[in-house]
Amino acid sequence: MTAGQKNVARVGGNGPSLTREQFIDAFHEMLLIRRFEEKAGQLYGMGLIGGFCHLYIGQEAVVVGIQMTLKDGDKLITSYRDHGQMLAAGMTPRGVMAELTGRATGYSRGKGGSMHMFSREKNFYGGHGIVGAQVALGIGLAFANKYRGTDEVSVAYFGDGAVNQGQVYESFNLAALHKLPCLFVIENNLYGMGTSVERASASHELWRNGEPWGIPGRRVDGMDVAAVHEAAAEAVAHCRAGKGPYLLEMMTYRYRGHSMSDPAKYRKREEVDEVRKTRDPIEHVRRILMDAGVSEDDLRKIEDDIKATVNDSAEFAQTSPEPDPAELYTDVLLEA
Amino acid sequence: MATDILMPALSPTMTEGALARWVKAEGDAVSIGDVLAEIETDKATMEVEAVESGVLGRILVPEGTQDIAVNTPIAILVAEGEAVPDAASASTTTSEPKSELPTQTPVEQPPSAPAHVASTLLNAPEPEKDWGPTTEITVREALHDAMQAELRRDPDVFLIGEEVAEYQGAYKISQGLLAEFGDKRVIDMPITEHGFTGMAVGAALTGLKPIVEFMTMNFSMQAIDHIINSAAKTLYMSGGQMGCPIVFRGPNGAAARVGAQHSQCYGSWYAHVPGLKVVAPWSSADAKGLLRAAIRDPNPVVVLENEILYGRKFPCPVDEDFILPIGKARLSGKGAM
Ligand SMILES: Cc1ncc(C[n+]2csc(CCOP(=O)(O)OP(=O)(O)O)c2C)c(N)n1
Ligand SMILES: [Mg+2]
Repeated sequence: MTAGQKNVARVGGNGPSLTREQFIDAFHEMLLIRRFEEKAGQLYGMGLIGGFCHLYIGQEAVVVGIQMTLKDGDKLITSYRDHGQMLAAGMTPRGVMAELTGRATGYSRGKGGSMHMFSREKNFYGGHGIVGAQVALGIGLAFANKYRGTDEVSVAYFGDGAVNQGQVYESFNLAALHKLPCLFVIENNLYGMGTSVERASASHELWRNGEPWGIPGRRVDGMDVAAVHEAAAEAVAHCRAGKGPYLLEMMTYRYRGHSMSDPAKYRKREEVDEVRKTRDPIEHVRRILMDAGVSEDDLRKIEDDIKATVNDSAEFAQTSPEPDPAELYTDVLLEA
Repeated sequence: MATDILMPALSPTMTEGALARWVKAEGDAVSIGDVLAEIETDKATMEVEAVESGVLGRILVPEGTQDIAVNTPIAILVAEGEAVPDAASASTTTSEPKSELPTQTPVEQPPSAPAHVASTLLNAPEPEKDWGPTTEITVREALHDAMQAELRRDPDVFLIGEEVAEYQGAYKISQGLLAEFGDKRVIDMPITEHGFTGMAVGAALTGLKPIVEFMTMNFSMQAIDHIINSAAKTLYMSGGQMGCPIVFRGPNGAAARVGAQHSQCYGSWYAHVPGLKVVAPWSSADAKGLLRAAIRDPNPVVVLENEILYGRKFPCPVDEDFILPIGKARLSGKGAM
């Protein structure tokens, strides 16, 4: 399996593609994530963001395509590579950027940072730093949906590296056993830090990892937002109908290092360049839109819009106060 | 508009670095993502990528230079055809780059402890509430009655664990609860502590109130990551948004003749975790009153029971509302002043 190779098994049918309006929305959402992450990278470079910072650049189509199939009340959970998920969930760029820079106006009031943000309002349950933990927590969100008798679905995102954690399989078993409405999404960006899937997993067909528990799975081109949307629509409908969990393996790629301090010696620059050139999810949609007669001017307007939003978030973050040192001692326990 | 390219911080600990090599030369066109230069950080050699497209107008720091502070302008990027300024300007894309990594604000005085802590310590203890008549029950019955009362009181409370439902509890604490509350609220789990504890914590983050029974606390070690990293820390890491109302309970500490793996006390392990409350009741009254309080508490509470005491009888108030506060010592008797 190489990065340039699509290697996408189309198990389900070719459902309807996206409408022009949906493509425009997807373009907007993906570009917002891309520009936001580039700005975060810049602020990190300036020392304004500290600690770990894992960028989502390259993977935008996955979260955007899935989000388009969800409804209010559906719950989300992911790993530390969470900025894209949060923006797609409708959390504000200002709140996310402020948290990245450790400010009191951030989603966690400066106490979570890049890896730990949450929003009850947007049903975003974090933001978790322990590889694989979000999968077990994610079936808990689905358990709650079922316990409360709603038709809400929970989505648990995890990486190709997380796939080898024991608790992932404990979760597959529990979700299948109790028919929990949980969509498992493996974001296979080919590497867990510096370890390729080949060097980590005896089986490379991760979409089949739920088979022993009867969990249906599909491998999807995660660089094609329409393909993601089509597969996610089928998977979400399955979960919502009470038929239990579903597993999607999204073939994707991260352009940047694992985190900001990754010298990236485990892959060749040409590999990254090739994906950028031939499979970029945003350029792909740009071409579709141009073919559909959307003018350069219209696209430029979207880009300008996003640039302004992102700059505003950076400005807001940098002018926000840092939390008071006394905050170290708050939010440890709630008043009983 | 000309843009300064600054010496980036490429690791959490980097404050300065060396410019190993310029990959682009003055006058070269660059587009987003192109490698401009290689930089040696305190950890590794890293590539600096262009974050905007344009032309590399001027190199300000020649290759081979050592000890360049983070945020020092190293080059100037201009638009196609634009005049190149001689020196770095303030016109960076982001306002006000700080001249060095922001250091932590020194904390001159330790922030004062929340006022209520001090005041509880200084105040004279309130007299024990008198709960009226008592009856002798075993610690096992007390724990059972506490769960039954809270399951009746709040539909968001549910019990999960190994053998808690059909088997009626490995230690018979949950006897009869399945019959009264059904399998939606008294739920047997396979032997998968890490998985079902994570699941219960996830459910608790949405506001449900799980009681997780570990067959014995020894097996909670399989799940300790979720107890600490997921349950205890999320409130803090979410800036107070996301509490985790959950109870982890089971027999703890010395048991008889079972070997070291089944005979261990987790009291000091869990008591050292910020964000967790820990109770270890002894008598039937303490067991009932504290378990009820634990189930109602909005925080994760570890309830350490003791197998050897399960069959012991103690007087326990019969009042239906009997409950004890967590964190308040019971005045058992007065010593000499
Ligand atoms: C339990 C655990 N082990 C190790 C780590 C360190 N670590 C953080 S991310 C990571 C790689 C995970 O890769 P993957 O699941 O593929 O996600 P990606 O970073 O590619 O999004 C490792 C080893 C961790 N955070 N948690
Ligand atoms: Mg990965």
